[in-house]
This record gives sequence, C-alpha cells and structure tokens, in this order.
Amino acid sequence: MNKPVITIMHNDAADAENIKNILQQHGYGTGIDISLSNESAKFIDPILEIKDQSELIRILKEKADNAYRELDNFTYIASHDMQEPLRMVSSYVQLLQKRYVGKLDKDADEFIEYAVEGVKRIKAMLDDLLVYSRINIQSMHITDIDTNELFAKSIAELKRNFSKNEIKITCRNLPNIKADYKLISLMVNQLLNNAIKFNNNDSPVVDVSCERDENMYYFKVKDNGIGIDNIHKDKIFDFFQKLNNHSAFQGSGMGLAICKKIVELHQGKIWVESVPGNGSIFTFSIPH
Amino acid sequence: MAQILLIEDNPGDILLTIEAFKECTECHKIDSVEDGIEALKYLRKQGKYSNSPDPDIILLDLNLPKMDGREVLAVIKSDLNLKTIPVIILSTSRNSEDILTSYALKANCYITKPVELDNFIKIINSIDNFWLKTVKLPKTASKVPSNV
Repeated sequence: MNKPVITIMHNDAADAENIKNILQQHGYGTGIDISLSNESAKFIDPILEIKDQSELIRILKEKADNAYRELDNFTYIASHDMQEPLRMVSSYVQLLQKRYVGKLDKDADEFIEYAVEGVKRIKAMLDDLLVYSRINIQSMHITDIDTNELFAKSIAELKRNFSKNEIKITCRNLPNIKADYKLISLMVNQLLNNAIKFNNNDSPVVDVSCERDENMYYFKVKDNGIGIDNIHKDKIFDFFQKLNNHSAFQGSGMGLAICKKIVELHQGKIWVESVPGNGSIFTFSIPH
Repeated sequence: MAQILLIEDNPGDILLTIEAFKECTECHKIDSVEDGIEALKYLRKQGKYSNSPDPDIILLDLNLPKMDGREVLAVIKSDLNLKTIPVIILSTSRNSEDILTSYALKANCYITKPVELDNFIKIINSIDNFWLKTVKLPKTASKVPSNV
C-alpha cells in the first residue's frame, strides 16, 4: 500500500494530534503534517478526504478490507495460473520415475526422488493457497451448528486417515454456535489433524472442551504431542511456517494460517499454549 | 489398433497423452494438430492433410489458439460428415460453464485432466477400455442416412 503525504488541517490541536495518532497506528508512519486552521478537519491527500475521526476509521478499515480482497484475488490468480506449468513438471518427473528409476544409476534415482518430492510439496502449497484465498466474508454462510456433531464427524474421518495409531479423542460440553459449517469443519479438521500428526506417542490423546464468558465460547483442543517452543507461538499462524524438518512431518505449512483466517472472519481469535515435550492447547474463540 | 486425432496446442500435453496411451495394453495410432483451423483441415482432408485417415475418436482440448475448442466442437457436430465421430473433451477446466457448454454442443463426454500422472494414465486407460474396446464405433457402421 502506498503511503501518501498527508496534511491534517484542523482547528483543534488536540483533535489533530489524535487523528495523527490513528493514522500512525494504521501504517502512515511518516509524512504527516498538522496545520492548524479555522476550517473543520480536512486532509490534503489524493485518497483521503475526511471530516471527523469516525469517518477516518471507517475509511481506513475500508482501505484495509480492499487490500485484503486484492491480496485474495492475487493469491487466487497466481496459484491458479501456476497449476498448469506445475502439472507439466509434475507429470514429467513422475514419468521419469515410472520409466527410469532403477535403470540409470544410484545418483539418478536419488535426483528423481528429490524432484518428485519437491513437486508434491509445491502442489500441496498451491492447493492450500487456493483454499486460503477462497475463504472470505462473501462466501460465508452462517447457520446454527451443533459442534458435538461437527467434532464427531471430524474425529470419525481422522480415525480413518490415521489407521496406524490408536487414537483417543474425547469431547466434553460442546455448545451450539452460529458460524459457517464448512469453514469451522475445515479448522477443526486441521487442529485435530495437527494434534495427532505432531505427536510421537504410540497412542495420541486429544481432549476437546469448551468454556464460555459473557461474549465468547472458548474451544480448547489439548494434545499430548511434541509441543511448541514459546518463541514460535505466533509464527506458526503465518504462511508456510513449518517448525519441523519436512521429512519428519509432512504438510504445506498453511494449515494454521487457514485456521487463523477462518476464526478471524468469525470475529474470534486463535492462540496456543504449550510446554515443549508436554503437548499443546490450541484455543479458538467464537462469539455467541 | 484405432486411429485417434488429438487436438491440443501444448506440446507437453501432446507428448504426455501419447506416452499415457503407450501404457495401454494395445497400441493406437495418434495424430495431433495444434489449433482448431488445422483440426478442421485435417478432418476435411484439405491441403497437406489430403491423405489423413478418418479418426475413430477425437480428443479435444477447449483452450486452443485461432479457433477455440468450443467452436471446433460446434463445427464438427454440425457437419454431416463429421458429427458421428465421438468427441471427448480433455480439459484442465473444472468450470461448470465449460462442462455445460460442451455437452450443449454435443460433446460425447467431458473429462478433466488430473494433475497426478498415475491418475492421467488411468483416465487414458479408461478411454481405451470404453471408447476403443467396449463401444461400437460409427466408422464400422454403414454410411449415415442423409435424413438424420
């Protein structure tokens, strides 16, 4: 986003200072002048012309929303248009693998294996970028959701995918919420999946519970997995963040970024508490 | 052995389709043309295509230069001499509009190209099994009655 030089023309020094602070909080760091005049509040700015503080906030919010929408569009187009060349690379390295592994030499086999694995990872990342870009307020469909049922479905599916382990998942006191079923499902799948995936125990144990205060429900997903170091606790919700060596735990690194976007669209928050080696508790909040 | 016409502009896709057919149990003869104009010349045996064979089936991509796949499909299906040849749409598009348009223009089936090679080979195999081994093709029947 470009940051124009802004002049605040205002008849009240304290108000003008206030507005300057708000602008600075929204990334207009430098280049803000205050000029005291007899006119009512006004900005000399190619983009903004604002009468008062509430309008300023509304316009800044609109600008931020537009920037997000543009980013979603860009992400969608970029990841969509990259699918075609990716399909070529992917098909031909797989064809090389199919026809020539074991027929050239040991080096060639290894090169081919790395190429095939690399392409698989790019594909997983692009697929998740597409998912991420399609999650937006316009496509949301809010209904009444029985989260007991939602979690039960997700758990049943999870148990099919992780047949190797004996998994124990318990759910307690889950409420009905108003939310987008598909999105909440996507987030719950991701959180439960992580709880089992980042877990070196032979029998992973996951406990799901819910607390409430006057505004929010707090869903807690507690596992006995590998845990997360304190210094990474915020980073894990960013794009393509993977804390682990990729061969140990596969994935695109987009899962928690997707969760964060979903929960924020529902006016909630998501965070993690953890002691490395002692499991993690992921909490997400949803207003009631 | 069947005769196949592949209408596809991406050389990578042409070769991939040919390679995928090599994985089938029976060999087929595949000719390819890279745009819609060339395709119609081939089918009507015009110019350098005067000796081109009659294809048993046509594999058609939708996004082609010069004359795009939908137009080619419309022309083939309204040409008395060509409309009986089964046309299989082989496209990367999952767009429902593309699918509907194709069937409205009388495509014989619509297939979305998968990303994974193994899935693509499976699809080519099922084209071979169904269109070239199971169904009776019009080429083996007598001439189309002129009132159809």
